[in-house]
Amino acid sequence: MASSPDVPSADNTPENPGSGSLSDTSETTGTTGGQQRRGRVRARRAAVMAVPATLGLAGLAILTAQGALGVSFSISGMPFTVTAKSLDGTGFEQFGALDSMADNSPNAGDTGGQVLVVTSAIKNATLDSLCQSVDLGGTNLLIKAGSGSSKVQATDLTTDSTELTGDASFNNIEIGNDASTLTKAGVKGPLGVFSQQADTVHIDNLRQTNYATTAGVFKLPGLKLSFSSSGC
Amino acid sequence: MSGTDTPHEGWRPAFRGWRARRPFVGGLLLTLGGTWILLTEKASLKVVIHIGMTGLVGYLLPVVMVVCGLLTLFSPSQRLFYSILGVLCSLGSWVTSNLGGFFIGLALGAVGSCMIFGWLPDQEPRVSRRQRRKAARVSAQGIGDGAEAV
Repeated sequence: MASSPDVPSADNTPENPGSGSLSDTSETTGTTGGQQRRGRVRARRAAVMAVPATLGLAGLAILTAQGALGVSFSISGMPFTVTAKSLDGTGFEQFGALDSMADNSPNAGDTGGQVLVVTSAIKNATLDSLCQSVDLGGTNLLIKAGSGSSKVQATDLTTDSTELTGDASFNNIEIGNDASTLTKAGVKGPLGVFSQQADTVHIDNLRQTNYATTAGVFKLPGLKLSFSSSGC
Repeated sequence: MSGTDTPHEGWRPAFRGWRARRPFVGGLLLTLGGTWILLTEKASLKVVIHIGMTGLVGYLLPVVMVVCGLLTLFSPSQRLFYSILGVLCSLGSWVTSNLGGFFIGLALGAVGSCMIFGWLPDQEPRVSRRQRRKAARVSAQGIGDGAEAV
């Protein structure tokens, strides 16, 4: 102990000017070497907060593990680019739709938080050398997959795009259906909207500007995620 | 008279006295937790502004944690409020800030907040385990002797 056990002067310290009798009793109850009355963490009192905090943390962890937290799906309003050397698909539908951003999204601009998109749905798709990039303002988040021997596989793939370029060929295409009567990919669009569908689709040098992508199963062999100064 | 915390004694006893009057360890842990979470966030301000409010909250919560930790150290009378705010921000950082600084910052902040909450001033001096055992043995012996005498 650094400070001297100066018992008689303990009640004269500026720490506890009014508690002279208290510290006197503490000295007389037989504790040897007691210097000054210090603050301390009382375990039972700390547990009053520790128990609910632990429960709350466990709840957060469970919610996250189950995917209930952070999966509310509003489009961010940040477009991302998808490119692929080639896309092969069976069961193809395409129709116009309107995507909504989250309320008060800063990316809304003068659009009112809504983006007019072309929804493409493909029942089974195989993509060669998939590349996806999103511009984060300073850098690009880049995802590459399927450049090796095994290709990217997706089922029930839907993409909401504002721009789509490539060399396309379709089999058994029907153009001009009502979007609510589509059958080939199992997705139905809004009533009274132009649409088209085909049995198979093949697109070379695909390049899409997308606002949303969903898929039932999305297999990405050889996935590589990185930040890069250049996009796809 | 050699008082335990007169300033003439040097800074070590003075610091010891200063620590004794506030939940020092808890405040320090909460501050460190917030700092750690801030250090794990690598997104530049440009990106954060681009993402918008959700990105900003990721920085806001650890900053509130640091402020609560420091205020606990320098204005300990309000420690209950700071500890409650601190533990809420620590838990919230799980959602907003890289799973609470990859859990480490969250754990530091939550443990620190609990220690602040549990801290009480002016406690009995701590008695070491050996001293306590010795005291128990002495009293037991005393009782034993008394029984023999009877």
